[in-house]
Amino acid sequence: MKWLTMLMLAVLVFVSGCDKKASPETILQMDATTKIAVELSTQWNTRKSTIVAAKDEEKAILAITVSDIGDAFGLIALGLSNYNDALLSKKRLSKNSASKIRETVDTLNTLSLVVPQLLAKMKAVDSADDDAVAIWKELVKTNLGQLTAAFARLDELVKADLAVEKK
Amino acid sequence: MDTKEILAAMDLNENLFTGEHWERVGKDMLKALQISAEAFVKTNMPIAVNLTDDEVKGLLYAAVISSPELPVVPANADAEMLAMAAYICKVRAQGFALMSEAQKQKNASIALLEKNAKEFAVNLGGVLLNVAFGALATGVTKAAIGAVTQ
Repeated sequence: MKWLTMLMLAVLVFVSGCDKKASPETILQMDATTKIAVELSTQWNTRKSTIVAAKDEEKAILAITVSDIGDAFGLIALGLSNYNDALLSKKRLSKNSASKIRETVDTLNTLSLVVPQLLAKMKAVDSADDDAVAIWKELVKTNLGQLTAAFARLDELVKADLAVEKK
Repeated sequence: MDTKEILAAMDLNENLFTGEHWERVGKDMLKALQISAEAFVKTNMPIAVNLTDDEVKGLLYAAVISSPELPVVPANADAEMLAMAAYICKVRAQGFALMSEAQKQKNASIALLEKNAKEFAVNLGGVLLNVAFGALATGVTKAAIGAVTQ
């Protein structure tokens, strides 16, 4: 039993040694970024059923696009929440996680190009909601801009943490 | 048949896919088309090439998750291009969420192992302390008995 525990300890030291320690600033930035992502996801997914493509021929394909973007926002928020929990339980991130964070910066940059163009093609299902939808569109764009910036900052901090560990 | 021709034949916007990665996607699709064509020759079905939407999507999905490459979205993208870019972003977000889940579970396991290791160390310390005190008490008792009997 003692030997088994010692073996588990050795595995623990090895496994935790492969991951990199996150700085307090990274942990705070992860938390802040998570909050923005959750807000954006909620904002998008609660209103997505009230918008429709302005052109009839684009209604079907843009409905799928709206849904896919809602899923993407939801998954990014979920991923950040998981990383937030991971950093709270143990302040370490793997190199693979750092790489996925880097990739997601690029994903958000692409979403920043797609979402404004998509919103420009959408209108309110009920014309009585025109004003509310117009305000919502601006809020989404603002929050997406904030999320992209916050995520880019998070990526920089994670990279800095890795660089510190290498020294 | 190159990638662009394959994508065009499938009513996919060929301008969306550029670069080496998408050339590989094209080759995968070509392979799928060849398998389909061979099946036609063997069974003499009336339709030579028949890839379903799900099969095309599956090939794209496999291609997207295996590469970090993103499509170039121009300023005046059409609905089809926006749809494909959104789909690729969704697939990449799935990869991000999956990796985060793995990291969360790993960190939780390490935290639990560390907690158990600390408890084990405390318990082991207690046992060693008990043994030491026991030995000391035994020694003192024996010495006292020895002194009394002398």
